[in-house]
Amino acid sequence: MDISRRNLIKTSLAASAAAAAGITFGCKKKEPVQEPAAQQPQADTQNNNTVTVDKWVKGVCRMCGTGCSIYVGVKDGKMVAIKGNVDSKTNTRGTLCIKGMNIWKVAYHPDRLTTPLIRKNGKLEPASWEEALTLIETKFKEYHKKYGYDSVAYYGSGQCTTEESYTFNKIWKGGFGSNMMDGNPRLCMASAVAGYLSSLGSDEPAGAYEDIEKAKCIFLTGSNTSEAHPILFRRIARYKKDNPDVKIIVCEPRKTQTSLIADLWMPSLPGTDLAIFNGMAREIIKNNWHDKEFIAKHARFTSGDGSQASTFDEYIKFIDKYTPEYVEKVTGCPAAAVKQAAEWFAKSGATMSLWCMGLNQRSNGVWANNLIHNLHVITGNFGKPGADSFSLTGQPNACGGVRETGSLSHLLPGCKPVAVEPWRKHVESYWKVAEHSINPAKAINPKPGFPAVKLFASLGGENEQDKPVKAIIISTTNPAQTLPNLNKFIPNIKNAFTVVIDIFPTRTAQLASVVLPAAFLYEKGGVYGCSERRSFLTEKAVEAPEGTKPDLWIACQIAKRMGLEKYIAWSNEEDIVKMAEMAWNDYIGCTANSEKTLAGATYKRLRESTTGVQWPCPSEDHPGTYKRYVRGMDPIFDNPEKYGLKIPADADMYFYGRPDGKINVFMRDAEPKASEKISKEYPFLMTTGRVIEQWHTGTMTMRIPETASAHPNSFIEIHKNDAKKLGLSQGDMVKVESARGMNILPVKIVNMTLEGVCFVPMHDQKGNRMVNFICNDVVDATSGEPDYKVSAVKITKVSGPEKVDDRYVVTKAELDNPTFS
Amino acid sequence: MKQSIIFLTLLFSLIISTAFAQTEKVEHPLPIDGKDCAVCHAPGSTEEIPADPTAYQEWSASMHGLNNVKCVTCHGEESTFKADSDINTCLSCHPQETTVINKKVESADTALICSSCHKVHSFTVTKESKPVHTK
Repeated sequence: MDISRRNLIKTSLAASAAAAAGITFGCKKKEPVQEPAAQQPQADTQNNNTVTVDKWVKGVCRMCGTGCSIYVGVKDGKMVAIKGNVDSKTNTRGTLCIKGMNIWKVAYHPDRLTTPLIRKNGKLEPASWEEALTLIETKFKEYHKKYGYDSVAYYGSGQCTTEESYTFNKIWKGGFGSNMMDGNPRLCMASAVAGYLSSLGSDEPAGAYEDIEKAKCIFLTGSNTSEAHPILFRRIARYKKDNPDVKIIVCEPRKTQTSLIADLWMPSLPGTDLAIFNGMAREIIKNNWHDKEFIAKHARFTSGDGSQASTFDEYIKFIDKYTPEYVEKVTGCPAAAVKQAAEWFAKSGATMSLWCMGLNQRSNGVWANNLIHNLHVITGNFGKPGADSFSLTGQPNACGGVRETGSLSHLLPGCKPVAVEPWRKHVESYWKVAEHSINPAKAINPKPGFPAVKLFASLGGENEQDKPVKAIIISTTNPAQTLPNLNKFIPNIKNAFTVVIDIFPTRTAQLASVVLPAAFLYEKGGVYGCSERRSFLTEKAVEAPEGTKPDLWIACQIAKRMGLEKYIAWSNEEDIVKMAEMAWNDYIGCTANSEKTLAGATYKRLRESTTGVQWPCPSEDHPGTYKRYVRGMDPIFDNPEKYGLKIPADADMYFYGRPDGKINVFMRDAEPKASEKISKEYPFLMTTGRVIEQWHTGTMTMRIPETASAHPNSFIEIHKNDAKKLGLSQGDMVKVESARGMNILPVKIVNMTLEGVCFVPMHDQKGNRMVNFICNDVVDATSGEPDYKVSAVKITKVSGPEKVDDRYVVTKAELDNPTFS
Repeated sequence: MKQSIIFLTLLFSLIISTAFAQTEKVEHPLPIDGKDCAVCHAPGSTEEIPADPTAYQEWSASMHGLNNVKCVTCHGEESTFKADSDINTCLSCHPQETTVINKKVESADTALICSSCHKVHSFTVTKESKPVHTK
């Protein structure tokens, strides 16, 4: 095809979407048609050179939960480039964001830890692996004996591979007979898990990303998709451009870049959006837009905790107080917007909701999730193309590695609660716990362990009698920066026997008793499962640096030393790839009879696949499942008895996770009772979140020159009217203070947030810019997930603009001297 | 005649700058000094020497602008700065398209780089139903 003769799109999407949304960019008018450059392109050998690599190795990006698939370019045994995978079903056409395209640079940063460290006389001193592992073995055995098996904890991550999380889970729950293990998905996804479990009876979405391009209405709430999930935003934006009639609704307190593609922005004061969801439901029913047939077949109305059945009439009565005017009063969202959103949601023909931490990280996060599911039930927006209630994950392997392997304190593999006896007995039997466990009980404990916030509140030194957990091994996460109300937890991490596995010095490593240097993802390989139930194998691309070890190898050494050599059959395998394959095979065997079955996703298949596999996938000849709960699409319908389920022969759609096959429609009060409220002393509501260039605690992204430069330090966004009241100018330094802690931050004056609402990104490692010192450690009563989204703060000017210490990272030299100022 | 002189001067400058680019590291015209690009490049800059905001305005109305593909993504930061993106930069996110371009380059078909057609900074897209860059 002759490039010079093709037609290029006349106007950009941004401009057309902006026009649709009534937004003016204020930029100069563009020429209607673009032509290629007038002059002949100059031969430029530098620009035309392609990357010369020895090989491209298949993998997945690890900088959010989208699951973008990539190829890592390797030359002379080193990573030198990344390119997107054009076959991908997640990052379609192979697009990547700035984090993904630069991710390989992380591995070669000079701050990489390459030797184990043991704290001696207050200093972390280099040690051999033998010495470090012997110390861990000695301490763990000592504490098991002195304080019981629950005194030694594991805290994992949605960034560990599935094989790693599964192995640690098996060691703790079966080998030690202790459920004292949790993971950082507790801080981001636990409310989504509890929402799916309580509403639909089974965790994770029914649909997939491909519903985006089949939807007629997309409801984005509690998510700044444009920055937190940029590649999914790109898919939505592209789809909207090609299909301007598709309605996009964005509901969140800040008018972010995401709202640029929206037909309707629904502002809501932090913590209040449950009233909007109930209000939309009321409007839908009042206007007779609800799907009566779907409700009759698939809805179970319930009040309270879900145990008591109720009726549709009772539900109508319950939501009656959420009139559009009432909603406007409590949320700040105009009544007209509630009515419009309700109409588009109900009448589109196929509506997809996508949400993220804006709903989950809340004191009423589970209820917020329930109310989104409610809207889908009453409008019949389940089980058809483009219709789904879809929770976005924040981490690359929170779904696959932690939710599906059950690596949380209350779950077992297959994401089933430890309290469910038949499944517990199955796992005990599959793992041969009675034969191998070192705990005399020889069984999995039916009582859940502590969720993250309670776990770290219960962690402490041997002299602290009120702190029952004495030792913890922390892998691939940084709780000394990510927990809320840090002042409360930092001493606990320091006082306990804390082992940290990481690739860089972190805030948590600064408090550790032992630091173990880890291998980076592309130096070991493993399976990640993203938001849409898709498991994808990253193959080992390069050798890990001398002195570092994969987490799976570390887990195996601990297992062997604790007397679980035969129990973890792959603990004696020397090749890390074979070790991972054995762990994976054990895992897919364990969950083969659950609805999360990946029995057909063998390592051989995952190696050969360029797209990955979506569960349920019961056999190697099964293609994987796009849509759950629908006969003909979901393989569970073919043989429900195998999974311990009963599905009526005439049911075309059946929510088999629930005893009656119907989705719970909950009556959830919208009042955020446990959320912090503003007061005279603390008159602003502060919310936190991501920016596109950074990820989590910046341990990786603050070490990539491009991403660090684009977002070098945190700031506080304040509405221009609030800035005026406080006498603030752009760049002024302010003290942001809650009842728990404070930050000193430069001011960014904006008009895209609501008055009285301020926002601070969460990535900065500098002590007085670590926003979690300010955040509230109140948790959702059901999920145990903390509320990072609503904190009452006061803001006072400290000085005029000052140069801040940007691109700050904890260095090796600072490991012994943690200063949080 | 006057036009010819201007054209020849521009062509000569281009050749010199291209040759320079191949041998010397390109530097940003002014020290970036840790500042966000928008500080100087966005309209309404209050800096002492503001940049021409046209490029920024075009970018912000483009697909790259909408999708938050900011300056550093293509131009690098101070230590990795490049005035023009090479194919390798585009390759990371547009593997399909650049593979086709690469083939053309390798077969000496033509000396194209992405920005030959997708003009800086008003990046555009083609309709997916009629793909230009096929596998």
